[in-house]
Amino acid sequence: MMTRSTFMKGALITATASLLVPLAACSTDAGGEAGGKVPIQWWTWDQGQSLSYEKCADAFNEANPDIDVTVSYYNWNDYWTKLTAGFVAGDAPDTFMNHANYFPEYVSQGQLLALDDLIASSDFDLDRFSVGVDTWTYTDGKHYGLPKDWATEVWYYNEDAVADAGLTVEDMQNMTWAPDGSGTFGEIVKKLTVDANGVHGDQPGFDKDNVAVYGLMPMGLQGNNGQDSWSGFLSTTGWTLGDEKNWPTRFQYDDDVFKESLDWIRSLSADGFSPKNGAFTTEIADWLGSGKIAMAGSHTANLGALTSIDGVNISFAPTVIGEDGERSSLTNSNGDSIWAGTKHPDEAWKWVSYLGSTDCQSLAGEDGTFFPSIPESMKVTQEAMKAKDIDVAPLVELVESGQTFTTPVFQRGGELDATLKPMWEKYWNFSADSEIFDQMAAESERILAQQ
Amino acid sequence: MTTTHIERRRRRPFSIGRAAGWTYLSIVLIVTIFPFYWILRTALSNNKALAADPSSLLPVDFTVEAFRRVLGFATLAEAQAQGGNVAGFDIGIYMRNSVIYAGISTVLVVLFSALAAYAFSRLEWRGRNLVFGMLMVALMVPGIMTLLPNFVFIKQLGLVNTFAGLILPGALFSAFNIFFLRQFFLGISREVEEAAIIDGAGRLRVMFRIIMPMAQGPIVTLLILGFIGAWNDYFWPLLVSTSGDEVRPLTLALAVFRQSAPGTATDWAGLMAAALIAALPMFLIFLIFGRRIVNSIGFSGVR
Amino acid sequence: MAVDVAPLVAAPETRETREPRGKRARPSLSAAHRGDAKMAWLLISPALLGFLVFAVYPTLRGIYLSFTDFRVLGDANWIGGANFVRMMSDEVFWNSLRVTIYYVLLSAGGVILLSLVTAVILHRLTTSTTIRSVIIIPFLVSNIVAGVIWTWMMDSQLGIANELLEAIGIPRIQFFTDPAWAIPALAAITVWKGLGYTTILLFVGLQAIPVQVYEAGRLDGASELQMFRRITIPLLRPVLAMVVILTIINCFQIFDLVQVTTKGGPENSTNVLQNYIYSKAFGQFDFGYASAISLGLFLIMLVITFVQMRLSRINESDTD
Repeated sequence: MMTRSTFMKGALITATASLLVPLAACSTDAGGEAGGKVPIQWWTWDQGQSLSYEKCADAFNEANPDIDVTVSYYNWNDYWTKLTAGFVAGDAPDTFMNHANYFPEYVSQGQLLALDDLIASSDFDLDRFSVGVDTWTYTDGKHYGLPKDWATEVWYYNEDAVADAGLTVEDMQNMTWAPDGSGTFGEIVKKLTVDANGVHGDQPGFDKDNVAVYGLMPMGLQGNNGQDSWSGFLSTTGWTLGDEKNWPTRFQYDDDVFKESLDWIRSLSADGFSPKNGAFTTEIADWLGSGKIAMAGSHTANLGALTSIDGVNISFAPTVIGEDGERSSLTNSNGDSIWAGTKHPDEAWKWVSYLGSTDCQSLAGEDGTFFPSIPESMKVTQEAMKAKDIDVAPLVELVESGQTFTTPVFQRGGELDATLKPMWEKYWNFSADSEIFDQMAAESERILAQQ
Repeated sequence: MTTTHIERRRRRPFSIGRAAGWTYLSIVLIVTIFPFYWILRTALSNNKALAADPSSLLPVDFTVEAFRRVLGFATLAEAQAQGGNVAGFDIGIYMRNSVIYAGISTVLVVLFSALAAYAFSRLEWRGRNLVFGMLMVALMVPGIMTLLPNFVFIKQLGLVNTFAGLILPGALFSAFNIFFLRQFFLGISREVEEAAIIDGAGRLRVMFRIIMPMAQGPIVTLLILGFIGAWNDYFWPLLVSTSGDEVRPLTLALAVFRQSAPGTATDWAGLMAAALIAALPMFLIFLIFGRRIVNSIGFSGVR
Repeated sequence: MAVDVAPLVAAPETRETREPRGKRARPSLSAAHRGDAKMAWLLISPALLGFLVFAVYPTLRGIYLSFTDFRVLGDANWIGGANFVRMMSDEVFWNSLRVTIYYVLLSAGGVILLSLVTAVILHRLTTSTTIRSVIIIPFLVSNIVAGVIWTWMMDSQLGIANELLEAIGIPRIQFFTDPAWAIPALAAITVWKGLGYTTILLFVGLQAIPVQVYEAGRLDGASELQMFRRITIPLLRPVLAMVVILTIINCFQIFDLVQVTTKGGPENSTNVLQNYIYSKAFGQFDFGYASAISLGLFLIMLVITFVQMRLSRINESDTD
């Protein structure tokens, strides 16, 4: 009896005491100043880049002893939740890597600092960037992010599977395609597919229900602009996602060329040349690494990682050549933004402008985890990758010869994603046919029309 | 109880029925336990080799590397050699944070709930039933509805990324705890109390010296249940612990294993090892208190 | 055989039955209860404070916000019932409702039925605490951990579940990426997780039924099944009713599990209400609309709970 009531009293005292301790500690939150240094946070969602930019942070901290930059990495899913929570809580990171899909929303909510004054006052030359300045300009004409990198799309393929199928590197480097499915791309996919009995997709007796190696990756998981999958096909026909270069009013899914092209791509999964939607729950590294998929599309930020997977020899090729003999590869650029509520805008700008400087870009660019927007730094990356036996010259050439296009920026990225995704899934699951594209175009128009 | 149990056995020689019963129980036990064995088997495998032999019952290419990654002993190179990508994981801090968060909030809420439950059951006062009814309605409020307003409120108090902010919402009020304890108190006969009161004991003394000790069982049960709940909490800490490791609990920290960096496959082995470590304290509590928990769960009162 | 089991079995209406007894039996106690009000309010003050600040205030704020257009970071603009009008014609909302109800039917139904069977079998065969201790283990892990384990086990390429299926000749099932299988898969995980705990709850309820009642039944020549229907179920009803209510409330609030497995897909087949609310609030910053939907969910649960409590109260008279 004694023990129990003493326990209760003890619990009461402990409880009260412990409540006071954290309260006392509540004054030190993450923004606390450590020894007079101004703390600046920088977030990213790319683990590889977080390591590369650590080098910049170290260099910067040394050169600026009164500033202390910390690099944090959160995975893509958590990243935007935490960022929003930070906006609401009033303790978002001072600086962070931003994505074209989300930045319009943040600007409209007043969470991003317009950089124009800072750019002007520090004589920062935006011309140093070869790509991306447009992307980071909002409808009000102001800049809300410094473009730091660019990426384009490539096809990663398994060299051994290619050799097995009797194909050459040249075949892969010059794939052609037309909306009705003709062209070498389709042929290559068929040749690369092998069923459980060793029969290739273009040979008689091919068993589409028993496939051991798929010639093409699952094409249905790539979001509204088909970044890693169909973007490179459609753009060669002159089709564009939006009716405007930037800030479109609708997505042109209801176009006949679009429907025809996607129907052909989807038919590949029905015929056993690419997996059914949802059959693979893993990521591209697994697809290629396990040998179950011979060719997969992704962007160039993954170049270093994907070409060095253990146990397989992965090489890459540019996107398809269209009917007019030209390619049209999607490019995108990420940027660094400053939070409007930062307590130290000047120091934040110092860091961000350093991030956009040739020094940092060259330093971080050595690892090949991204393509710098500054041509000089891009050369450094090119050299570094050459040393690892990766030749990105053809890709750089694409940009220079105008065979790339920038994916449009638009408002309401989150809502568009959430609304269109289930419709995409219906299409790729064969629950709906291409009429659903009319619906999707209408939905996009409705959402983009909102203020 | 035992005698009648044996009697029952003799009375019902339904061998087929009993066999069926035991078969069913065995299946239930297997289905319950197998996933945990499977986690262990995967955690002790080489992540890269997993794809080669998905159905092997034994660990594939036995290795404790996954645990080393989770416990923070592996270097990045070692991690990547196994197909993982996490290094420098400081599990000590996260464990500490989880213990503080779960421990303090649970002790507080059970204490306050016990006080309230006593008031609702053994004391007589106007409006008692009304207030109780209102509190019970709280059981039905969808969690999501309180999430953001609570977060904004904590922010206004300046308690974001602090233990106080993390603990406060859950430390004061729990409809379930109050309900549970009140049920129990109602089941205690009044005689003991009344005798003590007639002997001159004050209400407070009666409560602490007599009623609470009788409620040991349910209180310990609630402490354990509450601790488990707080330990496994994910979304509230996700919002409140904004940056750094000061208050981040284990559940959040382990999310880093769920991510796959672009160049690597999912670190299944690491993830399984992380899940195992996250559940470990629960298993320990369970080993120590298992029987007690099992014996005191229930809606019946005095035993 | 009028054995009074009422005191042993928890019943939600004891408030009314107990008070009059106390008051009538001991008039002298009312005097002792005079100082009660002051003390009572003191005792409930922490809980009440928590209730008001962290339950009532957010709920009221949520209700207010459901009549506004609130983009989280700006100001809330009053728009009257526009959100609710929108909800009525929102196909995704109705889908969420359907999907949530489907999930609740499968999971709560599964948990309750299987727990009942398991509890009865356990009760008949053994009083071993070991077995009971073992079946409660899944309850100890978080939904996140459970989701992670089962995602791995039911993976379409490497999961052991599919390996087993293939071994017995059934084609692989895309558990989490096939719209037809997603909810059943989630329900299965919920059942796996909740079976032990619910079984024990019912088991304890079964144990409270005095053996004499069964003996009397047996003497009267009743068969096993008859006794189960005529004795066990009625006497178990109060506990069963509580279990059913709490399980259903719990299942309606599913969220963690969906977030860690399917995030609402594929094709919105697992876009349960809380998930939809979350994606509207945090994914699209449409907090006004999200609040409106939360309010809808809240009302639904209130209705369901009241209906259930009514139903169980009607049967309360069975307990004697």
